[in-house]
Amino acid sequence: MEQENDAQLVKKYLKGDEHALRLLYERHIPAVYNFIARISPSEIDVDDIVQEAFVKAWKNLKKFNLDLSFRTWLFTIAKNVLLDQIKKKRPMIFSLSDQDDAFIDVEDSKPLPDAMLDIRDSDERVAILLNELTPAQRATVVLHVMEDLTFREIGEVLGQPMETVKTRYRRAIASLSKQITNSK
Amino acid sequence: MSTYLEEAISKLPAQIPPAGMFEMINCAINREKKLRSIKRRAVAFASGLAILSGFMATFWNVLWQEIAQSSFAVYLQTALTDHNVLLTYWKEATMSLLESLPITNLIAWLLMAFFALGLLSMLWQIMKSEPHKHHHTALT
Repeated sequence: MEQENDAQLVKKYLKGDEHALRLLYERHIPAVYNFIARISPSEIDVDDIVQEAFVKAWKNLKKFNLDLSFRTWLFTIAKNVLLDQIKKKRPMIFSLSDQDDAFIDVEDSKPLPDAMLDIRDSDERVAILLNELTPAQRATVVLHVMEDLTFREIGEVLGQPMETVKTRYRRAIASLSKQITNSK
Repeated sequence: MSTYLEEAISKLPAQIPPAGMFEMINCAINREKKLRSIKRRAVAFASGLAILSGFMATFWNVLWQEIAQSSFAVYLQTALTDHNVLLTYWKEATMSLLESLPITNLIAWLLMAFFALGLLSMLWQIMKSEPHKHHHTALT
């Protein structure tokens, strides 16, 4: 049986098919949850953010433009909910803009076989290094590598130009490479 | 290097939502639906009340004018002051009293009374359907 696309599911839900909402949830919430969990500061309750994001999406479902990507739209809502929560808890510290990327020293690291083996062996190490990136870099890397979003889609989610996202991604990877090199 | 890093990152175990999250979201959605319905009814109630108040204000004046212009007040006064006449001619007195009533206006008041009862029942439903405040998430 052919799988219905998101727009079809949204239409079905708006026509009264409650099950369509569950399908949308099952299709997208795991990715949104992973994204929020990876970029949230520790004091933030990820469950609450994701729940609130989905309820917000539900509230605005009638306004959703069916020509756009539901996944990108949901990521954007979740990011906004997260930023709102963070602002409430600790204003002016957390940012998903480029300003906090400026201090990263961009350097092209060459492949290091030993280091590569290390990363492949240790998920935890990669996770720790990922956490050392700035929130904006981490969001970009998670969305691109773990959630398969294109740079254009990431730009839509974060509300930034695609070129900015690409540059930030390169910086993030360079920064990670540098950290791996330094830790050897 | 970047390819290996990307590969390593993509292999990180995904953080997964806890079981029962959809049910919690559904609860929040149902609560929101209930709230919307209450809001709709509250708006209908407020509009109804405004309309009723307008009609009552208008018909109150008309009612008193009609009563003053009709012979109802005279008949009533006679009935109250001259008991003998009332007792002797009670049938005629009653008929006269009834005939002098401003019937159209009274029907309008009766309709308004039914409308007011409808509004009260709506208010009762609004108060009864207040969404529960105890829930498990920060959404409440």
